[in-house]
Amino acid sequence: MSSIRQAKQQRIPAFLRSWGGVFGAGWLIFMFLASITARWWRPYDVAEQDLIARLQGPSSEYWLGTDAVGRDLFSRVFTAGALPLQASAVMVLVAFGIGLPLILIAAERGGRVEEAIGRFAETIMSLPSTVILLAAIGAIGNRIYPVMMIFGLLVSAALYRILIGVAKSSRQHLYIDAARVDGMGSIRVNLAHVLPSMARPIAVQAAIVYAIGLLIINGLAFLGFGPGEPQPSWGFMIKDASDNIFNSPWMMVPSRRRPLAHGHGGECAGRCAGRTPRHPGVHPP
Amino acid sequence: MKQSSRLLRLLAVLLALVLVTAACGDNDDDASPGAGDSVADSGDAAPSGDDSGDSGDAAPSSGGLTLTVALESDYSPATYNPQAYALQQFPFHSLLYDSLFVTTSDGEIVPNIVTEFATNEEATQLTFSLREDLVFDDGSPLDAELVKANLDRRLEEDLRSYSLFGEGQEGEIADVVVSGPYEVTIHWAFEQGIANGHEFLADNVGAIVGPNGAADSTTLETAPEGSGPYRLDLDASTRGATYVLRKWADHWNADAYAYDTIIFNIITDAQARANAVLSGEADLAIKIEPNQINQLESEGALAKIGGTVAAVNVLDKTGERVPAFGFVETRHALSLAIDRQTIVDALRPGARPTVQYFPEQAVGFDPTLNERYAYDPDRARELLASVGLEDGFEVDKVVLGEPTDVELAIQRMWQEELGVTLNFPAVTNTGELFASVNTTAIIINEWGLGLRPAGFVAGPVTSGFMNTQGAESEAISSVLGPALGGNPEALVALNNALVDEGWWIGLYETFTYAGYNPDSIQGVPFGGISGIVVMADVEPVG
Amino acid sequence: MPLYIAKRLAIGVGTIWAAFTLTFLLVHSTDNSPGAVRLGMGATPEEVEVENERLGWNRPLLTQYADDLGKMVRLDFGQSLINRGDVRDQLSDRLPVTASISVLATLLAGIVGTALGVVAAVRGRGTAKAVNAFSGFSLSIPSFWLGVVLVYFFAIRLDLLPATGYSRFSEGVGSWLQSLALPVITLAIGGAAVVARMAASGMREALAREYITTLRAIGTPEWRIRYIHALRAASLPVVGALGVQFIVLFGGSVIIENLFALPGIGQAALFGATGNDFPILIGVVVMSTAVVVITNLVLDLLTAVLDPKLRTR
Repeated sequence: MSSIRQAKQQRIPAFLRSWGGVFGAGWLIFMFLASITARWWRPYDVAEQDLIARLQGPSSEYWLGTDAVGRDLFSRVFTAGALPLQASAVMVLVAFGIGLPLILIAAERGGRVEEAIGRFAETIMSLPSTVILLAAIGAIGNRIYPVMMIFGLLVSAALYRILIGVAKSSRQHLYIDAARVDGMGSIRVNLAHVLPSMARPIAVQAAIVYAIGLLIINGLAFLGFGPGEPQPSWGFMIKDASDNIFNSPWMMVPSRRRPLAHGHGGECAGRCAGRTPRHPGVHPP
Repeated sequence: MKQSSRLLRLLAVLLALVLVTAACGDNDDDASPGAGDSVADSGDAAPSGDDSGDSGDAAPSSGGLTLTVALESDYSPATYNPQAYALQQFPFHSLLYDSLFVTTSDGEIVPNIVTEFATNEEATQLTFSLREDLVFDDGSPLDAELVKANLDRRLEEDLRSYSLFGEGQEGEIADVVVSGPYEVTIHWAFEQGIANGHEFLADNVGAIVGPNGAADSTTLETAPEGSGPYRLDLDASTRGATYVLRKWADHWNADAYAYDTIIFNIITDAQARANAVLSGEADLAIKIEPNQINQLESEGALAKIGGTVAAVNVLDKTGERVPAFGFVETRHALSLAIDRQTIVDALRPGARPTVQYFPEQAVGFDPTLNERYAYDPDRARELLASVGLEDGFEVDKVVLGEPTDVELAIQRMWQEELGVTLNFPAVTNTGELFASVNTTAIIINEWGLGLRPAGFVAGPVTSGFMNTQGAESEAISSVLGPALGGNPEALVALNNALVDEGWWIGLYETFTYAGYNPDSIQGVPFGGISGIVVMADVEPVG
Repeated sequence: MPLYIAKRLAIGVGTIWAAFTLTFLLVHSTDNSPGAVRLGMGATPEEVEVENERLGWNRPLLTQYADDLGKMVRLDFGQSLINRGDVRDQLSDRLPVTASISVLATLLAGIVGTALGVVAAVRGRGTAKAVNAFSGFSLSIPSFWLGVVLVYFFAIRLDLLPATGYSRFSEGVGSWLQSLALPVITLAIGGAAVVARMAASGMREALAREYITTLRAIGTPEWRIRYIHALRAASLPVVGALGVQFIVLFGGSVIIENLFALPGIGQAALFGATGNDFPILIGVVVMSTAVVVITNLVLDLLTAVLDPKLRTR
């Protein structure tokens, strides 16, 4: 509600100095790599069934137990990561791809330009994103990448709101004035000086937005807009587990582990950087 | 001090906001006094059972006894015309419309608004008389002219329940004749006649819509027009979420219905539906999924009815698509190699292994068949060897998307016991799936056979999509006629013939499940193996 | 002040317009057509074409846009393609449900979050760490997971609260609150975590201000300093956070409704999305945005009244 205050609080943090930060970032990287590569090392195929061993708890054979048709949850949990991890990354790219140029332009020009962009951002930010995403799925179908790109557009407004203050304050550095006096072009000034000075807050916001994207994707899968069976998805695994909660309460634990861990990893990487993930308008459902 | 209460004031504003929004939305309600028995109260309100008359009654303003039903989907999603829907949706429409004949909880089809009916000697005509005291809300009567007006729309594509009257169908109608102010005669198109033709005019098919709806069915898109025992309270209802039905005291059969208000809540989530029964928000939940069975059963809140049979249906009886299927021995071997008990135990808990066509509760069921074709992989291998197929063969089963768990189990059993390879080529739309019956050897499916299983044999099994080759079997065709007439011995013979010929490889018989609150209602009255709930017979405890 | 109000109003109208335009473009960017949706699977391409013509789908895009925009201003969203009912009527039946959940959840998040934040700021490091850990944990739990667990324990196992359904306000405040208890708690926990952090940092900042030191020096009782003076200063960012939380929780409610079988806007959005019911989708987006905009407007005005700096503008 007041970008000035948020800007003031936007201290640039000692990212990896806290244990939580190391853990969060490390966990995210580990999960990302593990999920992307899961198809080469997972113990079972995601569709492989063992009808006799349904709804089992963890065992040496099935490390995280099995689901309702006897499929290995360990293999499915890791394989399920690949799609959301990639789709969320695309979302982050779109969000920054739209948000950063607007931020840099607004910070450089100021005045009416900044006000106009600010109004635009504020408008976008008050849109109820979950409803818009459902509408997008209803209109263009259950295609996760375009849908997440639309989400990226919505998120870019929030990024603008958070990062505009940082951009403006970094433009006030003397060396930027010096560079401009030196005759450096606007684009070069932005690329060579303004952006690098914003690197840390950008990294922090990227981590937070990334985690939010994961939770959104899982929320949509929970509602039934995930990849088709037998492709695994975390949201659907939670749904599956909740359908079997009486038969096999254990399933709720591994199914939650991944979204939680990811949300936590991203959240922690952000928070431990010294900032509450304060996202106007975007948040896990 | 004044300023320090900012937060308090903010909270007060928010609270005011929520009260306003909540109250605004309820304004509609005020128009219908006596509305709004609390949904949450009806379930657990009768702990002792001694106050039977008002057990659903907690709110003082409520209008008597309320039944709350959770449905798995909107039973009236597009229009309130019952003729546009299947039998499965009839529990909802049965309360709004009067039907000529209805299915009772004994599984019999009996006259409802028909007083008497008769079939002529050749069984080519059915004549029935109507009650003379039936009126719609606008005062217009339910008479012979209106019944004819309803049935004369039988060729309209949207009216799905009328499809059996269409050209070449099992109940093709040649003409509907008004033979008296309250008497109708139906002329069947089949020369050999239809013995039990009145069964075709039951439930959703026999439901009669009012004169406006019969003239222009779009009027039924916004409101029902029926003469049934309840009226839909449109103000209290939310399309697709909640339907509130209020008893219409002047209905001729009003006394048969115990509840003053019946609320249907659409709960699409299977677990939420079970939860609604368990925590008392619903008295009855229609359609419980396999995952929730154990949970409800342990609470004594589960009811079930058989009548759905799963089978491998052999499409290729001549061997022209897969040569191996030309031998009856092959078909028997495939049947003997399936360990149905394991499938049922692992994947369909609560179901019952069966090799035959007729459900256990239907006339025609033969327990000896299950013994004759019990799991026997050695015998299966011998049979295959006897026709030179000891090395197995390959067969395709087309799937839409992914094969089911049962299909995967069968695939493994055939592979391990017989060396028969079952492939699952996938198609992406139902059109391709339906087209595949012309080229593949088998389909695997669950079939809800309804109250007239023999009719399904006369239709799809011998002359429809399961027999596009036009294969003939003397054993089947010789008993089909008497079986359609209801002869018990012929029905048993038909059942045996289907299995002996290897046209029908049964897998298991499964159930339709419903959940109910045993503290509030006395069980679930299913209409026999039709699997629908007979709403008229839902009775409160006490 | 009037200028401020006018500006906020203009942004609100702009937001609703943006929501409408975005959804309109989405709906019109597909191969699907309302005729095909309305007639269902059995229809031939010719029949679909006739139906599209009747519905005006084949007119130039701008004409349709102007037409639909004009109708939207009059709150006319047309008929559902699936159940043929009036979209506005159907959605206004459902709006109170979603609004109740999200407003109550915002309230609860505000109260619990502020309490936690204040405790964290005022008590020692241990408490602060505990509160911090709690909020970190609850921020990363998906609400739909939490909802399943809460239902399992509180409704099924302990039978304390109803698991499903919505009881109207007019049927009694008690049963209304009961029916909303679990969904509201499910949603509010995440919101409370955000508010707690906001309130904690606000309190710490406020307590470090000079005038607090002055107050201490003149012997003002510590409880007055903390719970009146400092809390007053900390409440403004909390109010701001609540506005944002309302948007978030409104969206969360959409996902939660299915779990608790609540007949709200979210279920309509879900059915609309699965059934490609375009008028419902546009109606849901516009009406949800309107609710969010109005709530934020109210909060903005409140902030304006509270904040002396804004009041003079």
